[in-house]
Amino acid sequence: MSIDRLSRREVLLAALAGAAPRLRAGAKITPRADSMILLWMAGGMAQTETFDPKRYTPYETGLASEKVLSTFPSIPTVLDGVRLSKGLEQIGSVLDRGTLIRSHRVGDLGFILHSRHQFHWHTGYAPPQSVAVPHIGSFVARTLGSRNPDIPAFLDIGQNMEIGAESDALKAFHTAGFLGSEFGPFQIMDPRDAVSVTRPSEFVGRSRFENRRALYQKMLAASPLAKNGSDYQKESYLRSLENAHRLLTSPAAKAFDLSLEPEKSYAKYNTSRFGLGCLLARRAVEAGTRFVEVTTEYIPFRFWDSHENGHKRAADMKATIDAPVAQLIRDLEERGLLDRTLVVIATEFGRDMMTEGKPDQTVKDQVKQPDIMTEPKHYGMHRHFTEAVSVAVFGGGFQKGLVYGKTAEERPCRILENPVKIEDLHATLFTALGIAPDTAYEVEQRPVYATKDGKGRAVDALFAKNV
Amino acid sequence: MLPLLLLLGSVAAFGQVDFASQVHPILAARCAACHTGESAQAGLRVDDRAGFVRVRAKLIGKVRGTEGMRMPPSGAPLTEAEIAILERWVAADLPWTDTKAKGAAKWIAPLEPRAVTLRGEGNPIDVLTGGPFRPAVSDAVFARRVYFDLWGIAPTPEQLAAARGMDRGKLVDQLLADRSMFAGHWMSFWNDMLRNDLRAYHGESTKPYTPWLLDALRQNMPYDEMVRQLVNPVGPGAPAGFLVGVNWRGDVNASQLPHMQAAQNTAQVFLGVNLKCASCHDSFVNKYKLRESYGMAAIYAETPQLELVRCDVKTGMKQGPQFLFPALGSIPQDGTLAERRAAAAALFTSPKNGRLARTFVNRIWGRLFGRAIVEPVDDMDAEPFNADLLDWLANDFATHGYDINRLLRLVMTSKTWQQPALPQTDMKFRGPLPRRLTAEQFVDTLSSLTGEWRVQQNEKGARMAREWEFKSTALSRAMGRPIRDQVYTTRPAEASTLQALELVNGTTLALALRRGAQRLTGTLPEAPAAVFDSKTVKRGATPLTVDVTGLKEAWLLVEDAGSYDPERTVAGWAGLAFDGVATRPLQGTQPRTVEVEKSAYADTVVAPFGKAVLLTVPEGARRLTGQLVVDDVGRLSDVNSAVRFYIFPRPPDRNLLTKVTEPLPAPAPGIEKNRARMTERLFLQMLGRGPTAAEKKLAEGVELEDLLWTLLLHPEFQYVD
Repeated sequence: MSIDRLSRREVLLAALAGAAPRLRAGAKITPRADSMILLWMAGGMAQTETFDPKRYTPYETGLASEKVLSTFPSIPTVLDGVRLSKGLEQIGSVLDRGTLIRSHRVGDLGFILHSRHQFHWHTGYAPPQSVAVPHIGSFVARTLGSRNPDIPAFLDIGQNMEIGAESDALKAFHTAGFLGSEFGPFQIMDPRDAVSVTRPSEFVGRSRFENRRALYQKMLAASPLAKNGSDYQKESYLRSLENAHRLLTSPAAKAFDLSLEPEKSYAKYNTSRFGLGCLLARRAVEAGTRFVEVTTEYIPFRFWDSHENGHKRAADMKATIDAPVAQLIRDLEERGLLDRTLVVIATEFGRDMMTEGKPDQTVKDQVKQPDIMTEPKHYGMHRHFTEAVSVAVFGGGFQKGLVYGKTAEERPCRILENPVKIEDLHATLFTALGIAPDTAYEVEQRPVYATKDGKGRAVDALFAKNV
Repeated sequence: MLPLLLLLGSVAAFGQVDFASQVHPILAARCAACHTGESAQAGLRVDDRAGFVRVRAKLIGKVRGTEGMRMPPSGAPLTEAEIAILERWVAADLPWTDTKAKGAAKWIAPLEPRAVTLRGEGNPIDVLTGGPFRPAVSDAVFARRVYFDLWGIAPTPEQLAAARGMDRGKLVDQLLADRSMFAGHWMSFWNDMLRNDLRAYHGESTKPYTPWLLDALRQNMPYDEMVRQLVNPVGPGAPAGFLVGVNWRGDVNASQLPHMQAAQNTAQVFLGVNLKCASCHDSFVNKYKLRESYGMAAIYAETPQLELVRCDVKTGMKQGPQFLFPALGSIPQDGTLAERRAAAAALFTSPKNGRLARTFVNRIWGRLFGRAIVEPVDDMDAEPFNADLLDWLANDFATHGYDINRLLRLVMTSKTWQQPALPQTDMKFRGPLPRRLTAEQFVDTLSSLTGEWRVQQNEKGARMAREWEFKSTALSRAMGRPIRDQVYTTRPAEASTLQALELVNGTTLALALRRGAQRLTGTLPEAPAAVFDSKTVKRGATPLTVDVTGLKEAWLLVEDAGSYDPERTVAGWAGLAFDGVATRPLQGTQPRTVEVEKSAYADTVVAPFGKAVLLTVPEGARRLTGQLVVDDVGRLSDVNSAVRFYIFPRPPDRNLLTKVTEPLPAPAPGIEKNRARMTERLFLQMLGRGPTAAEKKLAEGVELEDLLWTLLLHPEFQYVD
């Protein structure tokens, strides 16, 4: 039978059977991670106010904007000579468990649009694309499957998908794309309410739900279908209903019930919806989820997306993330899970007070920032900086206590060494998970790769030497 | 994106080498930028083994840099692992999987139309598929099929009864005659294919052209005329959005510029040619070249001469407008955009272009049978399972005015289509396959069953509408409605767990069932009519005066009406007074101060959107006065508040805030309190058959909502057999 005569689905299946999901023999890195938690700092986290602090200049009326590199003093961390911005004390105390990359360089897409850069980071491809490319979580779920079939392979926590004008843009990458909805994100907007997704809907209730199922099974048994036999399509449809039911009733579903977490532990995470999202991520990974994204949530002009009052906003956001992120690392370590769980803190781009986009290149529609600050709301990193972004990676076989890459101490604070592009960062993360960066799935007779064109190269220096 | 090669074939064990999965990715990623096409460097082409045979002795030295300039000359050198693969490949005598040549030697798809002489009587489709035929499906199964395929909803018991014994052609004609129902179903097919949707990305991205499409379907516009207008939109109301494509602000890869998108989309949709690979480099999976893609793109570009960009590298070579099949005619090289598009429209629809009709009849066949004559439907260079059938259908379609109604009728009245649907795993043609309901068929049938449709609210009032008229939801996306950023010509038929979760436990569906069951049994409380409706209010303070004579209660409700940032929008009721006596709600809200245009409105009632608060109307009160205020934050361009204030005499029904002023998409079912008759009705409408005795017994005493749920998930409902 020639390929021409196969349906698209069959071609896809044939291609998948032949795809090479795991790293090929001979690869240098022994993959250690089998799960990943992406902690998404949505809206553009200023590197100079968090993981890559520069000279601190306190606010005063009449201060020239160009004089300010950081609006917080820096603090020491557990690592000698490595400083973070004030407000990240707890993350600083676990920095010896991870690798800090200060030289991530994101795409240069002309206009700086949050959702477009987010699309790029989350899929590895800048939109528009001629095929629907999957979220990396879907790619991981498709390639590695679920560690426990009773729990979704890909959880997405904390993002409301109806956020006004950019909703469609968010939906465009919160999808498994051509991989099919089986691998799509299982979305939980509010972790406090996660348990409701494993409970029958409010209009139904548990006992009614079970009664319905019993009725359904009796109806099927009584139908002519039972006598005449079904077919593979209908069988697989019925199986999917069973899967859904199992998901709603299995012991693994307890992972979603945060009320089962000891009070003391719950309190440590309880800074915000994001903090509790970290807790839910930990519980889900313990139960067998493969990929979890927890976002601080993207809503235009909120959270990390500060176009004014950036200083205060950064302080608030750090207070939101510091304790739960550190607790997540400690908890995973204590449970012996950190080595096989990648925890990644990332964002769509950095920020600066002066430079929009990349240095030496004028971008249209810059965020307004006065040359001279006349009120405190001017004090903060309000422009979108794509040249240098900080990324922290804990666990999963990454080096412990490494700071990789370096940026200049003076504006424009360019990357001085070891730039890491999105495709190479992704290649490194995929490699840690045992997925070759050129793993491909076929759509419309063409392969779509884990990293752009299969070209991403893992940064070997980021992996612990003993692996 | 730059995917390069068909990735088929198994992964070789260590020590061996597999061309497709190991060697080709290297060639594609590191060599293709220079070594493709007619101008390939050193005459070496990564899609041609002969070149590698020629250079085999030097290949490894080249990539190691020990033999002249290191290859590739830019970027990092190949890794040791990659070089090792190439070494094994050379050692194994360059094994090659000639993906490019697949099928091409055996089959060359004709361009011109071909007349096929029929050898037999009866419906030509039956003559061409040749039987032998099993008995046709029953009237009930046939009716269920044609209702789903023409109207997109299941027949009611009355419609099912009327179809019994009726001439099948007559039934098809009857359904085709209702253009509104027809369009209500087929819009989704066209929207998928033409990327028309209610979405917007940042900036100037897309242009929906729903009114044009709806009108075209309603009037059964000839297909060639549709194509002419889509390729060459002229004047107001023309479907300009199809060529505009989907764009994001900012820099875009050369292969995704609007004119290249237009080339890809017109070639894929109208000609069944995939130019996506060849938009970057000469394709490896079909015969199309980079130049041909640029020839098409130059038709739609602002300026007619385009520079070829291969894999993001400018080549310095120019390409003017050229139709994909130059044999059909030429495009004026320095014509204006309007002239070029007009010329292209003429070539797409030229009588000599058999490809246009073949591609379309193949899509319709695929849609109605579950599998097309040529698969995949977007690769019309592939071999049809029955070339006579394809060519006859295409020729007949073209010579009868590209009449879509006529084509549908022809297929539906054939014995071939009326064969029982059989599941099959091989490719031999045996008739229709069982087909899964689409998201829209599913939701619309549930609505027609209960009379509870989704509501579209606008300034004039409310109307109940079919699923296609709304943005996609979690339910419809899980059921396979695509995000139409790309052309979709098929929907996934596979069941998935996420989809099952939406069906088993989704709130949208649960609520629809609750309300639907209440409506069917006449227990759904009638939604109260508003005594006041502000329509959309954008900002500032608006005086309020409402006659409340005779009212006991006034329920105040504010709903968002499309604010950019509803979370930051603050809207409320200031200075409320009955006949001049200040009043405030007893509970449900804390009064606060809201600033509007330098005035502070103290004691303003602000409740979350959708949460109604109660004012008790004093005995004999006649007028409620106050101000509707939207605070100053709402003026910011990133908030851009838009809200709507209502007052109801009773607790409002959020699903129905204003009166439905237009007829329902399908007549509302009557109220039926007798359970046995209701069970009968549901089985007939949902499964196309009455209940068996055992099923009847099971349904007794079960809550209607639960029975509805059970039947909705029933495989006999979910599939069109």
